[in-house]
Amino acid sequence: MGLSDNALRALTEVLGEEYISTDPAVMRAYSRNFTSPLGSRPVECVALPGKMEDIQEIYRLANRFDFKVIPTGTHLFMSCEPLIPIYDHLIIDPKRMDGIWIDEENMYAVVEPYATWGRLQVEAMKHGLTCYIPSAGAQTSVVANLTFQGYHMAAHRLGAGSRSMLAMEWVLPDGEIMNIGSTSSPGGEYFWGEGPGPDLRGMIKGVWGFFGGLGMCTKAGIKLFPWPGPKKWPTRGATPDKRVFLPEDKFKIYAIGFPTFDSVIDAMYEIGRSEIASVCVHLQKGWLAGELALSQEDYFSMWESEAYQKSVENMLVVMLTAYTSKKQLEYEDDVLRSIMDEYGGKFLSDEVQEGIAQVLVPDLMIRPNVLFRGFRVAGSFFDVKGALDSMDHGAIAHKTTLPFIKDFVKDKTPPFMDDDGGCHYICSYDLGHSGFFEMPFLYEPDADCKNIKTLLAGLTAKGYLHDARHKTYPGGFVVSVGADIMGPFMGGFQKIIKNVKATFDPNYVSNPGWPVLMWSRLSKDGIKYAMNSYRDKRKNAKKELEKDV
Amino acid sequence: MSLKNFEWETVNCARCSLCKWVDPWELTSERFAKVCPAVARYLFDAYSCQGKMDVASGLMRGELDFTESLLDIVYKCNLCGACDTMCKRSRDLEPLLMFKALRAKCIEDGQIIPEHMFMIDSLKREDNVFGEPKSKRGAWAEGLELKDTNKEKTEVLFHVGCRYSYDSDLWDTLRGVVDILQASGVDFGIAGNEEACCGGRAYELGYQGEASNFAEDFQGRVKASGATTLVTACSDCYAAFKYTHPSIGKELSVEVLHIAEYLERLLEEGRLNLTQDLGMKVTYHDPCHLGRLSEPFIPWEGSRGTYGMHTPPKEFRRGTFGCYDTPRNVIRRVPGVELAEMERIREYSWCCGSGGGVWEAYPDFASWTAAERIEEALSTGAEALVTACPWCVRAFKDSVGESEAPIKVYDLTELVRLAVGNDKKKSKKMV
Repeated sequence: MGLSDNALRALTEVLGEEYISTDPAVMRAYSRNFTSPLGSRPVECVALPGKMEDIQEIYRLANRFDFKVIPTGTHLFMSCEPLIPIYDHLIIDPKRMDGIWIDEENMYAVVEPYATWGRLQVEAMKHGLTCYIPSAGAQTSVVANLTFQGYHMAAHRLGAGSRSMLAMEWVLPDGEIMNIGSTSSPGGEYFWGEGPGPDLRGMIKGVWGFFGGLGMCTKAGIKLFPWPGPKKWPTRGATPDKRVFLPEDKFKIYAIGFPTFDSVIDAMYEIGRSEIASVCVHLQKGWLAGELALSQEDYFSMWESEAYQKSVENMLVVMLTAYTSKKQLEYEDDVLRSIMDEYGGKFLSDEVQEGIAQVLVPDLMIRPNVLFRGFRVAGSFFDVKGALDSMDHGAIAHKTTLPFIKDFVKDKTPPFMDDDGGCHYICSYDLGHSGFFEMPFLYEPDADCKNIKTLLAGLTAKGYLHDARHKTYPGGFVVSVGADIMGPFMGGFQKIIKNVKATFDPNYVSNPGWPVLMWSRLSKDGIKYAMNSYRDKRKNAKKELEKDV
Repeated sequence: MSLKNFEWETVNCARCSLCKWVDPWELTSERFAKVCPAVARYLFDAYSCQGKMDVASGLMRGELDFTESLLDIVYKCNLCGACDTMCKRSRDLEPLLMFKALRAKCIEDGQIIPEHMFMIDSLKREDNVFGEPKSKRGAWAEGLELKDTNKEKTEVLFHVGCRYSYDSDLWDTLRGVVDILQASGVDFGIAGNEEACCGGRAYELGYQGEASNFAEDFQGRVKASGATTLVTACSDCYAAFKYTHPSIGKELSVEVLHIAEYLERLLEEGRLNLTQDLGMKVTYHDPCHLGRLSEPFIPWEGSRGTYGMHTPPKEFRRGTFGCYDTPRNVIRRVPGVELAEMERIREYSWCCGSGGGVWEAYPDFASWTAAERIEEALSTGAEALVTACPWCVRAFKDSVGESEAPIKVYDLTELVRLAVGNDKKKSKKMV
């Protein structure tokens, strides 16, 4: 079963025995993640390359011996697993490639695929710099997160995560190296993405990438930003009640309540137009409780309290940062207050302010966060919709989708949670030039993955039709079959992606199924899968028979 | 608890990988960001907390068989609890308890590794984990004429533990403890050859029945000694008395103190004075069993309901209330000693490598883990690494011996003993 002996022998020669495994117990640990779309999937081989050349060799061998390769980072998300039933695949775990180099003067870092956000930021802060703040958490791979998309809540000032990526070194599915941006010049550094030299970032990565379907980024330049705060994170308290106390002359963090949902969005646009603030996010009611709860039970007692519900209604979270001077902070503060007057905004209670300033904002918008707290609340989450478009688009999507979700969950709680879209959020990007919304939906996973299958079969499929009807296209989350369904409504983008995939990965070796299905290849691989499965079943049955005898 | 009790954990582990790293809020450098020795050394995710969740799930569902490699994954783990602390940073799961249940399942199914079998045989035969004769357990105290708690009543029972009893390199440290206690006028005694293992290691290896026998035996001995306070200089034993024994219904009826806590008390009461200026920059290593694993047992009986909620609500041991400040307070009271902290401290401390039966079964891994800690200690510029557990001291001394790293290794009591100096009269006798 799995990769052929010849393929394994060749891989072992390249990597060394210690860095390759086909052991079932080892494979088991790579067979799932919280987004596993169709349940856990057996993996046949895991490789631990130590350098870019190893990855090149892995891809060359994949083409030669006809096995599939799934590049991963820290293995958090669904792109780390094959979407379709493929028989013989190898996962690249890049743990041995975790280098971080910082160029303080030019404000960028160079990272390898296993460098995590937590490690990058802590080093950057020593140089008075910070990085973009991923919602995926401090423990995720910088490269994997950004080649996916890298949604984040500090984007009002720092911009879209995907734009944090500068020059790159990329191993293509045929084993060739592609250098993008300034590294494409001989001896070029990683300081710029657009050039000098070709910039193919849009094609290979775009809004949310190829899910490893186009090879593997092995080194990337990452944009860093000024950090006016302390070099050491000022934490107080003990788990699970830790808080952060940032210097008040550098940061002002506010939780503001508005009379209506629409006025929140209007105020967000106005904040953007006024070019103030470093963070500007509308959070639904579940977020603060999730961050402050000391346990799962604590979350529910908070959530069920009427006082709590009222305390965070139509909430906008704003952070002002003194990048230049205290005067800047005072100016921005004045502007913010006048916007609040205009749209009827009021500061929320002291208790909410403290929670937002000492826990939620530091965790989600300044430091790459500990972990999305929705995991604690119900066990797991699933994104119903999400798109990088405009804040208005987010508002419409939220309003129209909420009844649709409520309809779906009726009679299904548990395992699904009806929290009135408590984990939804709308985030200003680039001073309001664009906006991102996401609709996480909490549920309790089960051993057989029935719950996630119900979500996929029900919510996702109906969601696409719902989007088509309301024109609230989920610009980001359209992959695989979804791309074929929604593509015709969205300019036929799926055809372009299929062409790119076919050009760069003619043998279809790199994470097949993502981000679009190649139907002709799917049937070929499907037949191979069925034949191999049959062969193995027979072999195993024969072995069992021999044992019995 | 049976492995089946942890099915919810295995299904609900989000595979977020937080278990591999120091809390991002406490991280101070990229170099010392890792918190789990097993996955740092063996790299494949299977060796991490998340991986062991998956392996356990595979076994429970009958999708994995016991193999040498599977046992490797289960036992190449120090049970140091760092991953458990990190998981509980934002989740209400019990990974460490699950690992122990997984080991118990291995034993139940006859999946035993020879090195651990040797330890268990030794425990059964000689009441210690090294296979040394029981008759030599009290050899370290020969000539000291200490009170024998088998014959006389005492106020303080000083429990020595297997490592101190049989590692003659550490006997000077132990005798130093005796000097300190005597100088402070403490009424204490030892059980000598009659002392037995605390059973903590047996429990960690998965031999829960044996551990229970030792705990029960210990209860009787403590009662017979008439002691009101039990003091130990071994962190493993301390965690066994504070957590393991109560968790299996064998709680001791006396006050349990680690020597660090007792020294602090003696200093505060003015019964012990530290007068010698040591003029030394030191760093302190938190032993896992004195730190995150020493939080007292919190009884809870119930079940998980909707969304996995606990009924009744459960209070978690999250590793944050271990014994962290006390040893530091003692160090700070030593004249002329400057404490330079490492990066991974308190509940995020990197293990010395000895725990969970790793030292016995996988010496290379234990040695690698200790070397990593020595490197971190060196990065502080300290001249000495101080800790408060004989297992850690042994691991670090061996590591420094191998690498010739320019750093001394002290047990906390050695530092105190040096600061007491030779003039014991400077410490006050109890009035």
